[in-house]
Amino acid sequence: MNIVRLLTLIGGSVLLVGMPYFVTSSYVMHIIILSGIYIIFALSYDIVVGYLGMLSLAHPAFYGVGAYTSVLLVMKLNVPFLLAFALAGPLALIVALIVGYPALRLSYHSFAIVTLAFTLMMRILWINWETLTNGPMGIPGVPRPRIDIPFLGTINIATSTGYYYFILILVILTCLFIYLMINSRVGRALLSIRENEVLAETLGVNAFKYRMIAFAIGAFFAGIAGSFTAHYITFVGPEFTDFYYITMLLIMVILGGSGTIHGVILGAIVFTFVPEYLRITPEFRDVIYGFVLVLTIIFMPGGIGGRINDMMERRKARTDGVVRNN
Amino acid sequence: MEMFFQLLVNGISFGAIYAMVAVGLTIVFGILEVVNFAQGEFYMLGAYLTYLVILAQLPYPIAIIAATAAMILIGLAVERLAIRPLIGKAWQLPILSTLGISIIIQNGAIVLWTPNPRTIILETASKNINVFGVVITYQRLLIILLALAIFISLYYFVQKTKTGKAMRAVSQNKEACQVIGIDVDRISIISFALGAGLSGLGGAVVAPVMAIHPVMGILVVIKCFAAVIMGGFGNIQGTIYASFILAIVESFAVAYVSLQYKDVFAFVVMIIILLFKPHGIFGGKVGI
Repeated sequence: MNIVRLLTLIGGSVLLVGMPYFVTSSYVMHIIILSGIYIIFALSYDIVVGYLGMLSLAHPAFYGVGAYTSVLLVMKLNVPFLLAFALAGPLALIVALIVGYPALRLSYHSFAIVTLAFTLMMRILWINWETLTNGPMGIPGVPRPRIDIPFLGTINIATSTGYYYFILILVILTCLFIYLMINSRVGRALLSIRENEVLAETLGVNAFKYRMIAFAIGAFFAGIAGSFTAHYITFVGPEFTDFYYITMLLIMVILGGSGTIHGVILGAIVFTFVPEYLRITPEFRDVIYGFVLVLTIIFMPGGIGGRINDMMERRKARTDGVVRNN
Repeated sequence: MEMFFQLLVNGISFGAIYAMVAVGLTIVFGILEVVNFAQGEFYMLGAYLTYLVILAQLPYPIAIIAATAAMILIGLAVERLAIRPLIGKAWQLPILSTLGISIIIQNGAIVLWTPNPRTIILETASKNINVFGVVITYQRLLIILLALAIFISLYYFVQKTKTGKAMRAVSQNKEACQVIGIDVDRISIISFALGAGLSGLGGAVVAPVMAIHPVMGILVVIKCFAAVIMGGFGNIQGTIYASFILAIVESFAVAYVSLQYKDVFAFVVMIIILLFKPHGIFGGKVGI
């Protein structure tokens, strides 16, 4: 068993590191990089939806905050890329704390509505603050990442290979962080709040505090994903808060299996590739997405990840000689 | 002073429309505990149907009735197919389902009718009366009077009829209702269809005043959500008052503060109120 695991680990690492050498098509490489962005975006959304159990509709707003932050810092204030990129996440986090402070005290339903209102407000702000954001046209010609390392020279990221390794590092760091967080005191506190808030509070878990932490961490990673996207597609605009992203994220998280890291990663990859190969108009695509969302919710609310977990548990139960009646 | 009254009247006429859509939302929430994101789409469809009926050379009253009736039918179908199977499961599932329905209808409308805005030219929308310098078109007068008639009949429906009383009972305690033999499923479907119908009616009366386009529902529904939160979830009277407050604030803010940020004011008012009164100005469930 351990040898099999080791071999899969080595095989997986070789595949991931060698990806630019296996994949020759630059178009496929582009979709792989997009998948990386969506993995970070969806995993960070799952912290709020899956682990916290709250329906936030503010995630695209944090994605946009991250994107606008680093783009404006680089283009208006000539801040070096790495510093601007490093500030995108923290700024999204601060904004999340400001929004979360009133919103996370509300009921679940009010929270969903207030977060949606926040996304719309940010969109209206970006469309109308023309001197800063160039209004509905957005900001084209965002410079590609240029990382200055003292004594070693500069790394210019301009090719898809460069972007691939950049996003690979980010994805690995994100997964690692979320995995460690879920298995830490914070993660256990979050699960206890999700399962039974009253019980958790009687045991001394400060539900509001942990909700703020989870909401802010989710925003932090959304900000990073947004900043990377802007420097990758060399554009930022109000489109970053499109409602489309909410649908997309919900499908990735729910169909993948909310509350499972592997399921959400799978959902993110599948639903980055599917629309690229479904060559249809965006509106028609969104109609199909709506149907996918509704049908998943009705017939498979646990998602694929939930199914896999069930299967593994059942297999484990069988080998343990325990009979489960479901 | 004339300006003041003019803005007030404009605010009231928009408040009437918000209130029609918002009352539907609050009833659905009170009975099914579902935030219905598709409510804005019923409003949009109501407006489009009105446009189509008038395009077919039929009189406006028929358009209003047709739009409302069609939305009631669509509401019945949506409740049966997308909400009923999810009642009793995790609280976010029915909400996500209505979000999915909203996406389907909105983008379906773009596919079917293109995103180009349409307008209806009606005599009632251009003719107006002048009361001491305050100008009001017949259409806006119709909106205000119709809304008033609906709220009064809704009040009697909820307070006096058997179904209305059952609705109030269900909003208070579902299990107890099942014990004493109230058909909760029937009440749920009636409430949902009523909400959809009111929203469709809102769309039908707004159609001659505003441009009709596939995404017109989203901004209205989010302001109606704001009204529902401010009024207290499930509280019909509170929701109606909050709708008028929001629309009047908006009307004055557009004139005196900024037109560009028109759609932000409602949210700002909502967030300020929620900071101090998380259960809304009019408290929790009392009304329905």
